[in-house]
Amino acid sequence: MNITMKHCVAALGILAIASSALPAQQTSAGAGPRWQSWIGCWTAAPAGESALAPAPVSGPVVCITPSLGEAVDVTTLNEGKVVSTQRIDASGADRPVDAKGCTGVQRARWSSDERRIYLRSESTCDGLKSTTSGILAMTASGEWLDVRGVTSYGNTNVRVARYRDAGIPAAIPTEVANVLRERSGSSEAARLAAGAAVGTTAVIEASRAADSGVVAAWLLEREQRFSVDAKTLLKLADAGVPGAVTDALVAVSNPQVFHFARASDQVALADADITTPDERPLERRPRVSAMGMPYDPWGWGYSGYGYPLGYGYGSLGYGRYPGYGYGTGYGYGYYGGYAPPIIVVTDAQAQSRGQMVKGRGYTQTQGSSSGTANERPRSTYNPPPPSSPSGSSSSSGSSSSSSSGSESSGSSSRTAKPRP
Amino acid sequence: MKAPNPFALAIALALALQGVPAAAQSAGDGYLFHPPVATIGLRGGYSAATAGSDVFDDVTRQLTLNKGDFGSLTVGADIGLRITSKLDITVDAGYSRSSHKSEFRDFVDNNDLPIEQTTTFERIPFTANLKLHLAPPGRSIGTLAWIPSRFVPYIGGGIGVMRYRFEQQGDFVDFNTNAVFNSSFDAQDWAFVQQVMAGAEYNVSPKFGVTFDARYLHGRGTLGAAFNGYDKIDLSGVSGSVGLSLRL
Repeated sequence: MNITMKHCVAALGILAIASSALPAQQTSAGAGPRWQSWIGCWTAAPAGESALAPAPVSGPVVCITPSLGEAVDVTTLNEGKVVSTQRIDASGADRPVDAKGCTGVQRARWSSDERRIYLRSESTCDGLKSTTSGILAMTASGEWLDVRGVTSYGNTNVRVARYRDAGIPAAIPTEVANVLRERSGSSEAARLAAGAAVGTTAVIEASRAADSGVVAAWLLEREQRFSVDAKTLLKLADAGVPGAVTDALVAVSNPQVFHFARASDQVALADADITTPDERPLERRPRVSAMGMPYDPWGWGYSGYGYPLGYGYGSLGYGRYPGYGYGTGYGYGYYGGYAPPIIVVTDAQAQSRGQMVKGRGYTQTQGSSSGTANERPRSTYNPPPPSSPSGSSSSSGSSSSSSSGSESSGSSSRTAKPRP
Repeated sequence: MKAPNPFALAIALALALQGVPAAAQSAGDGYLFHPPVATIGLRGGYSAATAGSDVFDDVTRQLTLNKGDFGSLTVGADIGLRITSKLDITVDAGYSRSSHKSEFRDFVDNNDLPIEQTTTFERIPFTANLKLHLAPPGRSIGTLAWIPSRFVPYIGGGIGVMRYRFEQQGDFVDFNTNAVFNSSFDAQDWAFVQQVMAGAEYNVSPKFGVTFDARYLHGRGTLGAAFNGYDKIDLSGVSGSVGLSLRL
């Protein structure tokens, strides 16, 4: 069974490469100017952190270097060591997936305005089918957004990684650094151009090229306000843009009414007052895959919205399953756990309700969100206790607790501390 | 004082409310953030009484009244809850009251002065109705946008009760003695009523629409001891109104 899972992980969108060649072995003449925005080294930017925040001085980086033709190599490095390498060929051609018992096709292509890359793959591993959809795009501030969605047997999970320019870290191999120095001249301008505002035409195109959850997550993460009126919405709907995408458009375009909460935000808030995993409702516990995958340390596995991940898609701790294509991403930096429906809460709904409980004091009984939180089937896996916040458990806890994590508003980061 | 024209009032109110900025931010530019779950309507118009029972025949024969005098301006309000995209259930209340002075057509008093009285006919129906929209009231785009249709005709019907009052107060002639006496004849009670309606809603903004409504209400009620021997009073009537509806 374990082997099957690994095969499936490997197949979730496998990107090209039989080659694990390092960028040093490639010429710098490849990857046309359209890739200029992406060329460089990137470090994961935590969700919500200012784009102006300094990049961390250590930790993993993802370096994109030119490869042959329309391709680039995406190399994940940690402490100077190559963890994984993937090749993205944006020529739009189907490329076969044939690795570890998995078959399928994958392709990447540029958007018509050449500012985004759409990824798509379909693969089958031991009879298990899955599809991957993705968008690589820039934000207005020059951050790289990497949005991936994996669908398997009707279950979809969307993850987002946001990367920030890491310069040319000293720890990367000299060959990589040399290639990057050759191409670093116009990157900033190219990134700003690629991250400029998009219009509804781009939204329509993206909706045709990528899954709705991926497009919605891209729009939500861009945080670009659109001028959305009824005519625009009708035009989008008539063009076949899914409701999840128009929802995202409406939400980002009316920030005075809506804000969105990433799944990780919600879980963090909801679990803040819970000391042991057993106290958590099932949907807020660390995800355990249906096929025995271990605890996922990267957070996006906390999907918690009734949409368990596709089989074998669970553990992408970087370096764990390196280099298996679009579906697996680069192994780190992802957050979110976006799952349809995208969580959108209104200010009014975000008004928390509470009660005063004898012996416990005040407690929030209900925030709100429009997301649904369906309990997953009880797992027999007992995750290890997380680092415990202060406070003590007052009960043995029940998975059927009425305090649903998805109902936390996730809208505030205010915390209380003892008066000095 | 001249009663305000309900049509003009409704239009003016609608136009005024157009300028209200996105009313509590529950609407975007031309759309609501969700399909409406309820509507509140206010309307004003004219209600003509059928006045088809024998008590009206006698009154209009003896007094300087005609059946048209029992009609009056009417106001109403309703709350509608959405059952399906095209079907609402509404709870409706109305009010109409006519009050006319009259005198005996054929009699004056011994000073040749008219024998005057005032006749009041008051109707307050409370009904529960089903309202069927004959066109989609709007279109949902995703789950966060609902765009109203510009023009939505509807039909409907319902049942309910009516509080009514038929009162005559003033001087009257005792036809047994020809004496003129001052008195009051009052009949008030509840009656079961049914109504059908048809109309259209013209949406001027995502939240507001102007409604044009016509309805026929049917009902009959007892007159009580003050009007001995008469058939049940005809409470029926046709009304037309213009109103404003607010979507919630």
